Amino acid sequence: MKRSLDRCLAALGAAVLLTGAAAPVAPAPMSVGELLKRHIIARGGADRWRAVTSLEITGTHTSFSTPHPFTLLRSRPNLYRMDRTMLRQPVIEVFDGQKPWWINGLLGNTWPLPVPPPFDEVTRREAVFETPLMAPADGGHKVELVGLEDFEGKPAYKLKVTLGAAEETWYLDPATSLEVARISKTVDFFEEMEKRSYFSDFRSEAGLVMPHRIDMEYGTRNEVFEITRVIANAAIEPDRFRMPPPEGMGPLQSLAGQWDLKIETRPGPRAPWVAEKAASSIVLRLDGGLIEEHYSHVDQGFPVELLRTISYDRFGKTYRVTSTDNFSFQQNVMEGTMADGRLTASNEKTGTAQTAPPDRTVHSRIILADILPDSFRIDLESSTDAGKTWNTDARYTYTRR
Amino acid sequence: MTRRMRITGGFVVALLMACLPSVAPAAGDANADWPQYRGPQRNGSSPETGLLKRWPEAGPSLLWRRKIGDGFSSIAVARNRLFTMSADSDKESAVCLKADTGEEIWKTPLGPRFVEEFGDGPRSTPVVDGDLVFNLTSYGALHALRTSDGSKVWDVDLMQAFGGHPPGRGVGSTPLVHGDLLIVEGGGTEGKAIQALDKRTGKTMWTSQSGPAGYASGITVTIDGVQQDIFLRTGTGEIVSLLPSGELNWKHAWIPGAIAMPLFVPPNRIFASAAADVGSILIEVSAKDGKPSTREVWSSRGMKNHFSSSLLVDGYIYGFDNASLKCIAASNGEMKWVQRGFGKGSLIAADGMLIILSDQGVLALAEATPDGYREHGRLQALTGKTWTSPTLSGGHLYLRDQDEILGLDLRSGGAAGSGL
Repeated sequence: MKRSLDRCLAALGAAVLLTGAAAPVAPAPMSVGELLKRHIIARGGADRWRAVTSLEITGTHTSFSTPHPFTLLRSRPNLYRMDRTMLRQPVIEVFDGQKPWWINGLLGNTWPLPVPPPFDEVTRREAVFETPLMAPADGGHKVELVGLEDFEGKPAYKLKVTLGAAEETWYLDPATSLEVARISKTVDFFEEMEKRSYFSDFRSEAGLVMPHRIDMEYGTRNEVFEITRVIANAAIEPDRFRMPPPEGMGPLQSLAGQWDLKIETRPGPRAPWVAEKAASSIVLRLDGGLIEEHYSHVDQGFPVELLRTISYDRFGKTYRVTSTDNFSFQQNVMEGTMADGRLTASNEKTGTAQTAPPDRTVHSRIILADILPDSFRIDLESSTDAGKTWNTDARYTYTRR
Repeated sequence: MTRRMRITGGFVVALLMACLPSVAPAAGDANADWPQYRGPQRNGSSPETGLLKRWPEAGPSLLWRRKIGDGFSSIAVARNRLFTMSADSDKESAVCLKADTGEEIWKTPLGPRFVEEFGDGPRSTPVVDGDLVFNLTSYGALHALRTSDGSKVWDVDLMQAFGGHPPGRGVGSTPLVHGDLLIVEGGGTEGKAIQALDKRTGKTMWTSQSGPAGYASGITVTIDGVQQDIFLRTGTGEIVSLLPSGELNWKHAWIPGAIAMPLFVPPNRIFASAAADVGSILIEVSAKDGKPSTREVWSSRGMKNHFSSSLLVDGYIYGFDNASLKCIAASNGEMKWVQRGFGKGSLIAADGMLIILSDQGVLALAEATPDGYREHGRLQALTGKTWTSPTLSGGHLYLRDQDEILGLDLRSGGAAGSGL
């Protein structure tokens, strides 16, 4: 260790002699506190950084030897979103403050999903607004000075950072007190491995000093971030951090909740409407990918319990509505589309039409419409001429409790 | 480039040309051939001299530039002809071009286009031996063609013949000519992973080892007077030495995953390296009572070659530790310097210099010295994904990416020829 330090000091001294700089030959012994203080000053100062509540950083990200634009959004305390492209696929990684989610085309997921372990811990770590050297106390982590060592042929202060169960190593340039490298853990294709990040091209953006080039190497990967624009205190829409609902299900998410239900039915097209009241409970299942409704009512004197689901088939681009009750014990499956906020689905092609005596086939259709935050409507229709004409048999009006 | 710069460049070129030694082989001279992947000795080093030691601002003179198509196949040169492989919309083909103009001489379709997320097209490099050129497609079809017109002499589907299957990223190794044999690690069922074929007929002469096809290409070396072929096996991680008879000479267990070629460190050491957090190893081969044995001299995580192979100059190994160009001492693995900014580049050496090509087409000239990274020229030669290592022949440098191929004259620079 002593020998290594001597070599570092000698190298530093030689560098000074060669460049003719008037800097001291060797850095004075320093406590970790002093070193971090210098580092924070070199990065623009604690006050300036604390005044920043959000960052929008854009530039070029290179991976698999191909450059693409990237955007990094950060918002205090720990909202994080990185949009980049890898192998022509979108890779969006987000921490919404509670849980990480991503769209990871590299793994074949071009739709939003919760980040699975062990990737999730990496995303949580990356979401921290400032580096552990900028705000060690705030982050609840520990920074220890290992010493002045040789790092790739140059002297550098080596720091051990403990973040919960994770450990990182950071190297600071003794001359500038800025970071040179970070050695951390990452995950690639579900395998944990060492990641080496190299920082360079430090520039000041409105007094905030940050590296404008970061070279990352891990496994067989190489990623390079080159920053071209930094906007401090950017106005970032909260929705940018929110995990979007699964494809097709966005307009239906507001159906979740407890509802007062007005049910109007009639036995025939010219019969008068008969109204009754019920209560409906609608919950989102499978991260919003399935809507499940449960209600009970009295249908022409018979108590009936009904379970209805609504989902979207991403591959078939089709909405699918199922309803099963404990009166007919038949599952009705209806398929259809949504246009102008109106979902229309029928069982004309699903093989679940009912048969009425003597041998009539009765198709059914559901129309879900007028979706507002606190109300919506469902009409149930039937057809005895294979869908040429439809009669409205029931009207359901939902009002949020 | 301004007129003044052109004139100045021309003056510098004239001055440098006047200083060139007269022994430098000219393009087209058989002594200047680069007949296979990584050069005459398959080690990334060229014996050529008389190259520019410093490039003018405009870079070396551009000889020509043309479209080539998809593929990572490198360029072989023999008798003033270039041989490479490329893919068009549905086929992989062997291609022969005039070295001095880039004009196409012939093109022979070989098999279906390989489609893959990292990039489509052939990975293997043609090997020229006499009047034959051997081409291995991404699906493992080995073709012997006549260099004169591209007509087929024989072909063998290695996968069908030996029971292997193409690796996920496509067959990427380059066959090795050893005497009358053409040796390739095509993978196969029990005892058939490495295959030696009669180069004239394609007839199987022997097979050896088991396991899947490898990405790394073999080398021929002579240690203690024994000629042997060394394979760094991707699937098993073994470093294997085979005698020309096919008999196993020695085997050294290591870590699977290598793609880069093994590197001979004379007189009796082999350097091997692999990415994915593996590192590198230097082993020493010695014979006791006529029986060869190996021992590890050193191992390190400081040099992790991915698909780009390292090279040796005067006792120092230069190569890409993933995306960091490094110089390490061959004797103990100690790092001498590191230079970033080339991405997952590639390099060759000639005339005491390193010719470095970044993974995005930046070409640089630097001293091959352990004293530090000293750059003597740089230019943007290509603009696409550039994973194919350079080729040097008769003072001309040939480069390609997945779109273009070009020739540069490394003995002259700037002035009228430069169109980069």
